[in-house]
Amino acid sequence: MLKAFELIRPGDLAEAVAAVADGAIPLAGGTDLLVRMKKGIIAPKKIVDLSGLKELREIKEDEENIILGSLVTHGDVVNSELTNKYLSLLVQGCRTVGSPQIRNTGTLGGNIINASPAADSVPPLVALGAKVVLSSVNGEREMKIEEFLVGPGKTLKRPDELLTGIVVKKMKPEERCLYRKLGQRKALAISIASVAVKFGFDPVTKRCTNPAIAFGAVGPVVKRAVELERLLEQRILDQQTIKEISLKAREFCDPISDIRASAEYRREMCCSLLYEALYELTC
Amino acid sequence: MEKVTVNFTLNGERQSITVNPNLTLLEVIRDIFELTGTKEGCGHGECGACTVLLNGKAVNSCLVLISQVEGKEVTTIEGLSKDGSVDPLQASFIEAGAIQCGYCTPGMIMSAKSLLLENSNPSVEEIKTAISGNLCRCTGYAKIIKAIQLAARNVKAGEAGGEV
Amino acid sequence: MSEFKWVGKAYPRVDGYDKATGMAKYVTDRFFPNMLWGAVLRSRYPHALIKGIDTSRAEASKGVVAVLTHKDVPGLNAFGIINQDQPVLCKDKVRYLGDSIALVLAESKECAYSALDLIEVDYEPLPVVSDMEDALKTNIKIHEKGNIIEHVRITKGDVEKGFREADLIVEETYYTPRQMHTFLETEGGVATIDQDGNITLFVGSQYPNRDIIQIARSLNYPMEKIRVIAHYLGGGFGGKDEITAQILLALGTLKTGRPVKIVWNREESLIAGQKRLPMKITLKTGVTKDGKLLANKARIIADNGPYTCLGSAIMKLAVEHVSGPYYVPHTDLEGFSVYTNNCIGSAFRGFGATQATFAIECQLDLISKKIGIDPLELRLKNALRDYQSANLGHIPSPSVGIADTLETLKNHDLWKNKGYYLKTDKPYLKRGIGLACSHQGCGLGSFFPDYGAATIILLPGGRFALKIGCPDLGQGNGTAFVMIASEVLCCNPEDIDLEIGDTRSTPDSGSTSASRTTYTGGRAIIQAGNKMKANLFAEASRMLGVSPDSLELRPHCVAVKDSDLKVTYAEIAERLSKENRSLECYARFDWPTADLEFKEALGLPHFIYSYISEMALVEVNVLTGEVRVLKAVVSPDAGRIINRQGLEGQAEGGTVMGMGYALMEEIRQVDGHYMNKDLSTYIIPTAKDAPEIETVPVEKLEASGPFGAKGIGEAVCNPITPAIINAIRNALGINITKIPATPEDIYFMAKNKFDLLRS
Repeated sequence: MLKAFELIRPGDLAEAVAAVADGAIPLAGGTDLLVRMKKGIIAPKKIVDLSGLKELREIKEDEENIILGSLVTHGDVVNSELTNKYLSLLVQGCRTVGSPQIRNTGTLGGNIINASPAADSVPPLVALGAKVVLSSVNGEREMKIEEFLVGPGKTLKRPDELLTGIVVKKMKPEERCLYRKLGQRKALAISIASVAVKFGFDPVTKRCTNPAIAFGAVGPVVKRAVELERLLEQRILDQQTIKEISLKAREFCDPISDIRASAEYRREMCCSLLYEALYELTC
Repeated sequence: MEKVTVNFTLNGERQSITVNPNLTLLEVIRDIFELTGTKEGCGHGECGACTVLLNGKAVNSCLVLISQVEGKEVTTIEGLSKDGSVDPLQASFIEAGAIQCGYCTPGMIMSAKSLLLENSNPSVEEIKTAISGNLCRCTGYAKIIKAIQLAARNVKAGEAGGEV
Repeated sequence: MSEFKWVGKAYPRVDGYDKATGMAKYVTDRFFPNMLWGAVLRSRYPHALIKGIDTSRAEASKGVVAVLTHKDVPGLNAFGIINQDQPVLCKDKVRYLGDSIALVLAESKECAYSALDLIEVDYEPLPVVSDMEDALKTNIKIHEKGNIIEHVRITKGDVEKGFREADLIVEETYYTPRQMHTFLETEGGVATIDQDGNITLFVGSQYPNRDIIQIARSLNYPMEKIRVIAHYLGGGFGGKDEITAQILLALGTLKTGRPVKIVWNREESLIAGQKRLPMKITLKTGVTKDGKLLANKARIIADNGPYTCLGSAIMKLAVEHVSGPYYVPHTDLEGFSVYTNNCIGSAFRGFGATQATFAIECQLDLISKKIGIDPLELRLKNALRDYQSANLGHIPSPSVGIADTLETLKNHDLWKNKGYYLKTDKPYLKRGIGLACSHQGCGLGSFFPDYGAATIILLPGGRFALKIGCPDLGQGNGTAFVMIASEVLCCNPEDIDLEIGDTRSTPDSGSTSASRTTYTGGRAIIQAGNKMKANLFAEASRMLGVSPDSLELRPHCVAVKDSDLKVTYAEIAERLSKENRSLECYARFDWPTADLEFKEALGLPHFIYSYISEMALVEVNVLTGEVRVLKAVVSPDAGRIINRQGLEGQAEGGTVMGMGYALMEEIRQVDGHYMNKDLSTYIIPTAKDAPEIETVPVEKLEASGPFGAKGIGEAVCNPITPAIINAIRNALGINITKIPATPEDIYFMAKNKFDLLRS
């Protein structure tokens, strides 16, 4: 049962942004917000239902980028030709979110705003260097997602801002990528740990270029593992090298213990998942 | 609490309701329209018993606020068997033994329906993925998977003019 | 060609259409005009004294009609099938977080639940007993009589002599978790009362007739004014055998005169609902060097939580089953059932045999490894045979099929061509095959009255009504009943109207539990059917002017042997109707019992058992500890198969349930508080976790059973758990003694053996 609240149904984006400025909590897909309301974690007085804003559900491209509206669902990402062509890493991440029902309703914007370290679309977005677009009555601003996320449940979104879009650079055809998620079961799982890996790879020389790595659920925020990326840059990825580099992954995480796993296991899993990803991408 | 008016289609019929905005689609389906085929198993989107189609796609109706269905098409299990004839999925679930206690069955069938609307020839892996948000405690899923394969085959045979 | 028209076929469920179309009304789907919602205030502390309860603010809250407390319970403020030690509404003490303190009745669910926050309870917290071994030693008493609910010890032969003669003695301690039934329909229902004071409940229940006794006792109300209907149910698995919401529903409607609905939400179900109780099982097993089991000594302790429910009987079943379906000449088996402030432990599919099976079957694989004998051969060598004495010294009914099920696995391709199945193409994936056996006593065991009853009525048009009390929780006993009746009455299943689980209209046929209903209900139906048959012969003989001896049943009619002369059931029904008569046949069947009874362990032993062997192929990712169960092959011996589809459904469902028990399911509690709150922290297998399952049944006929059938509903979830654990042992060489074996557990156990990153 949901506690009583006032509902605002905006006719356009401007009205939605105005409602947010007025203190209304945005309702995107609802898969997380409604659960938190039912559990009594939050009790919003005003809710602005964004579901009528068709323009926030579009996936577009320009020369360099894919531009996703914040209401694009995980299912939209999985099914879109554009994302499958240019953002395979994000598609893989979105495919592991919750269940088909959750993917059909839950949005990319919601997944980002929750700022859960275990959000499955986030490590791919961080690894891909995505930017978020924030709108307010005063206009728009863009920010790198990695800077935007500052702690569990915390972002740099100002109270009067609405997340309206995500801009992601298109991946290059020669780039290889993998999102590996470890959950307690094979579906409908919350990540114990996950890794998003992307790099350019020459199958003949096995040389790695421009690597990007981001771990999920092993620290307060999802961030790039720049030290590991530096170790991989320009390296020939033979078995010994990927083992050595993977073993270092435990140094670049800051996990906690909870009902799903201990911190020590999560730490070890950074090494294991990175190794498995590198193995699968290079062998 | 100010009421909201929501217009949508429920099992092919246009509806306009004016209700408190804090109702979920599940509550509206069960308590207002008295369509109890859609079940509540957890209320948190973790079991899939409340699955319905929203514009043809499976969603957990316990996590959809009623205003979110404005202008959309909602299909519940009751909407699959109009005029006495059942959907091929309903027929195959009965035939293949995919039902035991049956409490997950309506949601399971709706998830399978969502799959078959998109993909008439799914692989076993695709079927498993499509129903991975629907928990079943009785069957071990084996016969559910078989039933969905059977329905897909029967639909195809029907379209080809063969025996269903 | 089968000798039967229906028995043994794969027949679709009789309620399939209603369930597939959403038309089936489950007990929690019922709505009545003017209906109130009930919400239960539960305890804030796992163990505390109640110093005062103030409901005045809640009573004044919007929409609230009444707030009931212990003062409002007219009769015995306690219930329990074995010991009445659980309060309907707590008066002066709470013993776990699920305890009920007050019932709010309000115009809406929202009003009812909101008012819970307004009830003020003055608690004095007490120290918490959360460890079962501590419960034996501590002077903190959960109940006045102390913390031991029941202690049993049963010996056979001379266990010390067995150990002296043994070439190898293996000792190990096994731990099992608290498992949740996770039926999709939580506990609850609706109650109504009419102007004459007749109370009707639609409620999740496995034994409506027994509920009436408990409701009447607590309400101080005549039993004949209470009716309980348990149909349709969204699963039970044992968790609806004891009282859940029944007494509060009846109390609510009695006090308000209005219909009352109570449906526990998922969190309440998790916290207050009954669970499979955790056990610590220590085994000392002696064996000769060629693998002959000589002696088994067991000490079992079961964490029953704060109330008895069926817990002490479950501990006794663990004692009975802890030496497995094997011949062991010397046994010394001891069990304790103890109170703690954890969640209630009670019936759950397998009823103690599940925990026992995990322990003994892991133990056998340890033995097999230590003496270097193939695990299947070790089991085959010791498998119990007809007329051998079982573990408590009794001789079970000679339908002992365990060796046959093992032979089935032995001849299966997965076992014969292990090498092929064990290959993987990645260095971090390791495969293993494991197997396990189990048995399960059918019925309530010695001492307790155990019977089935059924009524068959000839209806106009030549149809039959079949009435039987034990509910169909979903497993399909109703369909099996219809098939058995069709076989006896020579008609089609569609010609039978089944009525089930209603104390007003169906005869008491015992509980739906203990793998008992197909057997006992089936026998009652055959007997009632035979009476009906005799009656039909008598009527036909009169109508045709021939002797009854010259008659036989043909489809839908009684016919003269070797002749076309016949009279249809419809014609007989019409004739009877004209004569103001009807045909109704009732029959009751009582269980045969074993040749032994234990005064100090009532219920033990059983006489008839189902047997089962199962093997599993697993693939372990040594980088993460993740286990994928790729395939399971299950060979159940349920005697004669009544419905092939139903049997497979049980085998498949039981396998996945046991898989969850092995790998992921556990209610975790710290000092009586719960670490899991919902279905994202208590997880069960999804379709993507479930293996491919093949069922290869064995039919070792039980002479006393309907067409030779035994029960199978429980045994199917027992062997897969140790089979998986043994498969992991086979893959990694690790000795897992505690379930669930999570990826984390497995990873750390195997880390030093397979440190791929450092090799």
